[in-house]
Amino acid sequence: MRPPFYLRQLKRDLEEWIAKGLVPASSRDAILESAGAGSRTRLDLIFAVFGVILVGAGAMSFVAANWEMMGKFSRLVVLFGTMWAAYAIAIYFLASARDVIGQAFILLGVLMFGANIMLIAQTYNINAHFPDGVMLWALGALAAAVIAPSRAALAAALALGSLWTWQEFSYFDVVLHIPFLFFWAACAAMAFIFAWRPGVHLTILALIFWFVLNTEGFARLLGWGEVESVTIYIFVPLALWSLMQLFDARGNAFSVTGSHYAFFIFLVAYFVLHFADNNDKASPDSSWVIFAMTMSLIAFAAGVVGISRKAINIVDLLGIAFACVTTIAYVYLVQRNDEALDVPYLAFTLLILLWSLQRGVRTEDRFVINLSTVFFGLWVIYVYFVLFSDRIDTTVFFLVGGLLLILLGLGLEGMRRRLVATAPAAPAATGTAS
Amino acid sequence: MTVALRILVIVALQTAALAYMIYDRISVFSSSTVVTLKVKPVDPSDMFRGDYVILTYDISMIATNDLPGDDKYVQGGFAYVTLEERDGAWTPTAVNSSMPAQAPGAVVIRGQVDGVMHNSGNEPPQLRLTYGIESFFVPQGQGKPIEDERQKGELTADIAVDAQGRGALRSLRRTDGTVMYVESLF
Repeated sequence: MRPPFYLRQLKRDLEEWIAKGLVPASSRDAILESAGAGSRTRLDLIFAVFGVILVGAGAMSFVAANWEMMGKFSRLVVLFGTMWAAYAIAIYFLASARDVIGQAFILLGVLMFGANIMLIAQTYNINAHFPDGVMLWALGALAAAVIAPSRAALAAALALGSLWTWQEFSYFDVVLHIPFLFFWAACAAMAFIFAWRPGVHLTILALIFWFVLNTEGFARLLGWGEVESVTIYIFVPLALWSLMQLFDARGNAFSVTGSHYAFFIFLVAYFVLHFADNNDKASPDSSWVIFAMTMSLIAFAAGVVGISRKAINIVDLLGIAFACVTTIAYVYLVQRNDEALDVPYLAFTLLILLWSLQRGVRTEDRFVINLSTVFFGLWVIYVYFVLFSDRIDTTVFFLVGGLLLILLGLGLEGMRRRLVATAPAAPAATGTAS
Repeated sequence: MTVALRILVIVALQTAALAYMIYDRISVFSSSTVVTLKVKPVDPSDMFRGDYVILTYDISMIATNDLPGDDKYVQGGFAYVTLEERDGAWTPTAVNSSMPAQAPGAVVIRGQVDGVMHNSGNEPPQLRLTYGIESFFVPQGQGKPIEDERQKGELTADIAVDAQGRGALRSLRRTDGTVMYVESLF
């Protein structure tokens, strides 16, 4: 699985090489096929999926409209019959090599399975722990994804799994919903086996969603304050990002995507750390110290190995060390109610952003360049508010702030374009994309 | 494995899951043990949504200091309420955190502990319990009469209870014995 930007660049390069006679034109399709260019999302698949969703909604509307007139046995015949019919049609299309519409009907079968769970529960007045119904639906979707195999069913499984964990969290105050992680791991394995990019995105987003839901649970379970809890989103993504650089060296788009997400979360968390409350704690919890040290060591060790593999350079290693040390130091100092930390922390944030920008340019990674540029703009605006909001007249404050925004927008866009122009494509196989 | 066989495996798995839901319900519903519980009036603002009726019972709130039992309850866990028929009414006589041995004539129903309210000092707590018989879909038009009877405090529910203590609502009757609704399996 290659990143889309790599494939776009490969197509452009191929045309140029063919024009120069370096590559025979007859090899174009074979080269693109070998790089996975033929596996892009197709419009007919999107239309087919929307079509079966509409058919499913129509079938369920018909059932709902006639629900009261049906006896329970008739209801069961309709419910099971529609599900079986969806799968029977899927078999017909798949057997006649019309995979796209066949996959769409597998998705319809999965949707009917879920509708049947809900309607059977209603018909028989089953007042169970209702997230279990969604869990059963998600497991049915995952089974379809594995056995068929079906990418659409995998996407449905991830969405339903996220709904399941959200229900447990929202309605039943589950402190840490660990069972979801087993389900997620099975989905992640399938996304990897399918080598399916949207599946990778969905998998990572589902895990981020789980972490966000369970932040309070972590804090309650470990006895951590708000500041300590926020550092989870600094240390864990940073360690993962460092580890993924080792896989980037092989040009694996899975790790390229994962490391982009990890770096994005790391930047957001580092940026917002000093907004968090210290909960009047005298010192960090001992379990947090162990966590912070362990994650820092993993990130640094992966960085050292990354240098030996030429996946990162010394600036990156220093960036990792700097982020870990300043985060730990900040948590220790803020626990002592040191209010003079804001300005130094903003300076640290600027240094991290400069590292990020430098890395984006060095590795010709458009995502990191764009991300760093946006964060730099936000940083400037925030600094302006923090330093000047109560020191100058309100009218002047807004006038200068407005001018600053205009100039910042123009300046940063110009800078971003210049930097991106030097990065025509992130190197998928050079081992340095982040 | 061919495509058809693979999809048939999916169909078989999903059908088995749905069939088990029905079978499990039937097994509770078919239990020969039936208790009759008095239904309590509830807050009218939250009691009836369309054809969906909310039912609460005297045993929905149990004061454990009035009853013998082991008092080892945890929120989200189970509580087993022993019921005995006294003067024509099924009333709780014990509550335990695990299935107790059943005396002749006694029925044990299992509830999930939704809330544990501690009183002052070391007194045993009050338990808020749900038994899976608290909400009930009824056919169009039958909800309002049930609602009216319930609010008058003149509604009872016949609950089938299986060997594990799980309950299923079998019928709703007025206190004079007139049947208002009977649940059927098919």
